[in-house]
Amino acid sequence: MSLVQALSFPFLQYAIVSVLFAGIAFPMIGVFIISLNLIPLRFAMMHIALLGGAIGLFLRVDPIFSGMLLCALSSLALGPISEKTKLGVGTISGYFMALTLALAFLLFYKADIHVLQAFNILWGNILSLTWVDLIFVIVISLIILSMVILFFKEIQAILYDREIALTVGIPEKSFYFLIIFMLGLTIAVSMRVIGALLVDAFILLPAMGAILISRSLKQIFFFSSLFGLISGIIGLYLSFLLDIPTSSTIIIVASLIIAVCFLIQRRSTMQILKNFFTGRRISLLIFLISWGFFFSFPPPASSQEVVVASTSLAGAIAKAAGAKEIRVIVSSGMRHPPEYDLRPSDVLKFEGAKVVIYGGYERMVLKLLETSKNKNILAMQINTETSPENLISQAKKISEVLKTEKEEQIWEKKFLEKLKELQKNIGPFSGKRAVVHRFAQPFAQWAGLQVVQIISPGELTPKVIGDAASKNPEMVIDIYHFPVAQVIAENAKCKYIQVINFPGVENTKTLEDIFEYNSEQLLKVFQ
Amino acid sequence: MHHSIELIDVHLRIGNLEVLRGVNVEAKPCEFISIVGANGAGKTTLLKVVNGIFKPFIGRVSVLGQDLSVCNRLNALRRDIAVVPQKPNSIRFPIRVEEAVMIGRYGKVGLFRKPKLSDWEKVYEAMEAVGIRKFSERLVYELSGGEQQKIALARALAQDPLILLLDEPTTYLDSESQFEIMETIHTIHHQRGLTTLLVSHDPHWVEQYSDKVYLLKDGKSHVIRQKE
Repeated sequence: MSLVQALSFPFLQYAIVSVLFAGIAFPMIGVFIISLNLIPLRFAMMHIALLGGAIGLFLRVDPIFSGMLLCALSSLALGPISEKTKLGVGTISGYFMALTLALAFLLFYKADIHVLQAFNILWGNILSLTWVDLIFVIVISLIILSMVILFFKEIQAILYDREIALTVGIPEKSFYFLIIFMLGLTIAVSMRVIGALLVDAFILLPAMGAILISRSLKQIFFFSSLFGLISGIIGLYLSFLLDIPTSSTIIIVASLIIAVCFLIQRRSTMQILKNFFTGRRISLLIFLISWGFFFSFPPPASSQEVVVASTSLAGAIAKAAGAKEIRVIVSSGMRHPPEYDLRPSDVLKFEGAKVVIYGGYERMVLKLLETSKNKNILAMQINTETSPENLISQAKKISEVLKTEKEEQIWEKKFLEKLKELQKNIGPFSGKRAVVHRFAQPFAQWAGLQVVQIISPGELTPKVIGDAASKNPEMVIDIYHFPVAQVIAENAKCKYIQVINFPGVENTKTLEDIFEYNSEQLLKVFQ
Repeated sequence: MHHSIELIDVHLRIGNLEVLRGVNVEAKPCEFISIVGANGAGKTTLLKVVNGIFKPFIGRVSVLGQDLSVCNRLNALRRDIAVVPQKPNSIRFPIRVEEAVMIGRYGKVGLFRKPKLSDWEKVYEAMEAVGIRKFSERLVYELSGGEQQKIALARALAQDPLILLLDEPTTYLDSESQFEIMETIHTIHHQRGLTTLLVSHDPHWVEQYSDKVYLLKDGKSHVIRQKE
């Protein structure tokens, strides 16, 4: 599929429009952040959104809404609080960051909220924008642009020196609070919409480059927007051309721009640009760029039995169910979903597919479904608990949809035989006392271990560690993708094992591989 | 005729500390008043009281005929009061000298308006008066400390104020630049008919320029010299 063909897909259209707006407007926010030394604000907003999300999950309201609401309220409060306490907004942001993260973890612990589910609130990606997201980006961008254009001189005075701005008769406090509010809101919304990774690229990097080469604030705003736009467009273009993660590509382009700015600094920038862009070089560049538009990477093969799986586990279950062609989005399991960076081909995986299988905690699947051109796709939520009984029942469910019941039965027989064989090997460990991570519980039960305590995936408390260690376990079984319990093994002086739920580790592919790998871990530590 | 600045029995607390405990200062229009005192005597605080940044819990502050405790147009009043701070600010972005001086006009230009030609004329006039016209296109941080202090003075003049508040404007300068700046200030004070309030820790240095010198000690003010 070439870029020209792909332009008919809404995801690419939305991505281009959002790059046009966010690329121009968001770097202006970066100019404020750098000039006012407010980098901690970005991290504070991230954790405030997390707490808001946790509150939403706890109160059973939309966690995204509650996350954004808390961010908006906090950014309103940040300015006045820093003023009252005489601590800078940067310092207060540090306070908010620590406090909200702690509160969020307490809430996860007390309300038994799935941490992955909460972190998902933070996931966003420029390739998975819905039209509502796009409107958000456009509106926020327009507000930023109007703020900078209408109040340029007030902003210039405040960034120059707040006290001077006050003494010349500018309503400095109101403007400063407005700036802080806009910064917080932009970071919060854009983080959710285009992803935390890209927020940094769009907000901070172009502004850094611009400050290096400019001779006035006007030039800084102009160059930061120009660099934001260039890195956005070139990044998107290269990411499509090479089918590599989009946000990361945009960041690399923006970083290269900074490197160039660093080299030229303020030494007659325009002269260097003029010398570089000669007629022949421009023609060559145009040729190379237009070649890219028609460069194709193989389109996803389209057949009626294509299954899209959100994770490697969903993919393995689909395989067990008899699916012929499976396209996995996050191949090696989601260790930290908010950071997963989509590639253009990830989005195209949905085209021509019949079913999408997901566990319910991957927000990206729902967003990608919404943006996909393929409206006939069936979204199938499955239970991804890794007990043999559940895996078989989920595979059966999928096979009914795919009409591959026969294949599923053949797999089921082989699977059970394999499990029997593995169980023989680990037979000697049956009945051993084990402290088990909740996600590893299905494996522990299957292995016949005596589970003396289950550890929740949230933060451990001293009491939990003490209780677990005092139960004299012979082993602690932790989860490879989300380990928390090594400290218990150290305190109880017992064996420590990490098992997997997602295939992908050490060449594991199938459901059988998961059990085989986990059994081997058990055998290994006791050898 | 009202006094340009009048502080009557001003008491001010910052946190739990009572910094000012009965300060009386008056400056008639066109007077050059100096306030001297040791470090930490509350001199800078006093300027901030005049500017309406700090509000006393006892006493009355009146500036240009307006009682600050009931004044609800402080920002408008501040446009007629120019401040030259103690030291040049730490500049976080590149800015040309002429732009930095223009900031002084922003309050008077008003919201949603761009500086007019007449504003630029005032900026160039101010730069001329303090002798930095030749640097107008240079970046502020390319200049020396003394030159940056002149920018602050030019900005204050460009504001076209009635009152000039100077917070130890020569502290970080060598003796030659100190003399130069003080002479410039004195000349401009007379030329423009300003009411000037200068804060300094050195009484001998300011005596020659001042109509009245106050000493600030233990939070109280004492007149230590007055011209006949």
